[in-house]
Amino acid sequence: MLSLAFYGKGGIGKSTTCTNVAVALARMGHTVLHIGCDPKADSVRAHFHGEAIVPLLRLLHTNPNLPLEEAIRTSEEGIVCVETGGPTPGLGCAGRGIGMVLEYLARTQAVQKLGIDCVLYDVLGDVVCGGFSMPMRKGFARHVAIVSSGEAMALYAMENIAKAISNFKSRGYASLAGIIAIERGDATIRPLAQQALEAAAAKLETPILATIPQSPLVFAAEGQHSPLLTCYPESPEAAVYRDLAKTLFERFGN
Amino acid sequence: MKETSKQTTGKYPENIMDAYADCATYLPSYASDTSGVCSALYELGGLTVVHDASGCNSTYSTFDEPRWFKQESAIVISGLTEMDAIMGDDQKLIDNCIEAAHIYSPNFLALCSSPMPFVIGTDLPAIGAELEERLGIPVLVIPTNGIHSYIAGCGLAWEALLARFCQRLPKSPKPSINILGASPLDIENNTLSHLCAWIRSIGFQLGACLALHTSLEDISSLPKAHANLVLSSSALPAARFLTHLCDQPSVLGLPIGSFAPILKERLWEAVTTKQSFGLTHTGSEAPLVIAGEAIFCASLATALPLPSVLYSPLECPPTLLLGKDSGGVEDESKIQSMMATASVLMGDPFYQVLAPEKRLLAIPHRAFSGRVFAKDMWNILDPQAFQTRILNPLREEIAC
Repeated sequence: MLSLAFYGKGGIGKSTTCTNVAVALARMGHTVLHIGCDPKADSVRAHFHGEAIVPLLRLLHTNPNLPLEEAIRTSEEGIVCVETGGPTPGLGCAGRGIGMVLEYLARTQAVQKLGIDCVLYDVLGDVVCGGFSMPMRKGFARHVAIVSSGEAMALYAMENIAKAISNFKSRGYASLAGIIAIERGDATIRPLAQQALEAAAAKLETPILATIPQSPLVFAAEGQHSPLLTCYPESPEAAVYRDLAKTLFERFGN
Repeated sequence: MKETSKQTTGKYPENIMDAYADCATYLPSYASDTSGVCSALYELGGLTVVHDASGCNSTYSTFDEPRWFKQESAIVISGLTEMDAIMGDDQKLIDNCIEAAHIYSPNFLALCSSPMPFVIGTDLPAIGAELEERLGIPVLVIPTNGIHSYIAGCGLAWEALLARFCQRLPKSPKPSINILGASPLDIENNTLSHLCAWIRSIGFQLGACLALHTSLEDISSLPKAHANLVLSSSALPAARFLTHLCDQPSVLGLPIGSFAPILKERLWEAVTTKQSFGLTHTGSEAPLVIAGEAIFCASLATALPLPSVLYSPLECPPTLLLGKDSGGVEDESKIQSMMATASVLMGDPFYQVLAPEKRLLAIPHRAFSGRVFAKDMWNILDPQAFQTRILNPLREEIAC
């Protein structure tokens, strides 16, 4: 059983990474549950050719006794998808909303009933309140992968998330699996950024699990509203995602 | 603190009491700010909406409001659900307020908040503005959060009420006094009747009462009076408002025992000179500990033949309780340490639990013990009752 949450700075590529890892795991024969934990509700779109699925919070708002089969949507690749969604920006409490969705999935025994063996949580960038740490709490993700580039703000977010994980160690929260490096910048900047990221990872005593290359194919796949593994399955970039999925399951899938 | 805890409770080992230092382990909390708002506005023909989860109304109606089963008032809870809070469903609140307003046809609508909307930052002022526009009646937005006591709630409600319904008016031809701070949470009917009679007996006309046995029309006439008698810290914001609005002075205190003549002089001077009179008590290591609302405690202390030290966990002005007195901080260990050197405690019977071996002269306080001691409530302004229940037992203690 792999139970992993992706955290990292907003816009760094968590959803792209999570989506492609989900596809790779599904193609390896796993039954994957991909949970988008973001009020924007845009994590699982690529599994449905860009179509937005109805966020679970909205469904629960209308029907608190919603049956599990109406709460999920399964992609062509067989990936079970849930978007938490959230209130209109500026209103309500998105953090608690994530908690409510995760509690719903636990209460309805979604993982057991659907035969899931890989749960991926794609959590929004800013862990601004308790609700956003919900996926890393006991009973949910067992490991956290931080998605980061070598840019200052991404590193800052990475360190903060790592600090949160470390602070909550005594509570039985998820442990840090490692860093997923995202290449950014031109040829001059990339080696420097990679160096900075490696230094930060070393300081946290955590491995870099994979480096996602800066590639036009990633952007091209996004333009087609589909995972890179679907659009360019034979590309070297697809191989990187497949290797990452394999690494994650082998190291943390017990 | 450790030693005191051991002496007074003897129930838990020291290390457990250490863990509970600065916590309320025995005493209940005073009525909340939302109860204060409902109580303050009860008789004025408004519709009071507490934006909170359903069920929170029963604490108010069961424990804090003696008028609930005798006198009608439009007080409702919005019935906020977890999902409404998560989704920020303000529209539901707006629609329900409009529906309730159509049912009750209130003079005004008062909207107050509780912990959940407070924490998620619900924009009640904006909701209030929208409601006012759609309903065409005044909407008072009372910024409670459910965390403070009834003192804050009454204070905010009365201040908002006065700001909306009071304006400068010509003074009454005869010297008159308003009563500010009369809510069943602090004062019983008999005591209030006695107070009204006392005001008349010292040569004044009775002005309006904020806010028992009153109406919205009476409230609008508050600026006509020459001075205010402030019974409770809950009315201090209203008193300040009236001073700013029409230069109306205020005198703090309750005419208990020998304090009554002093208060009489201050009221006449206030009316003559427009000077306000506060209240200050400086506590010392004393044989008497008085616990409760600060203005009440200080008035009572002034009427006693022995020095005292006062404990008020409720919001009160920083200038009221000085020296060894404790004001504005809820801390059982503080009153326990006061009790360690004292022999008599005065206050609500619930305080007895902190010092079971000490003598307690009971003065039940509805804001603290609800209806538990309702049948034992007595009129402290009645000289005979004051003599029997307070002064005589004190004499016995002095004799000992």
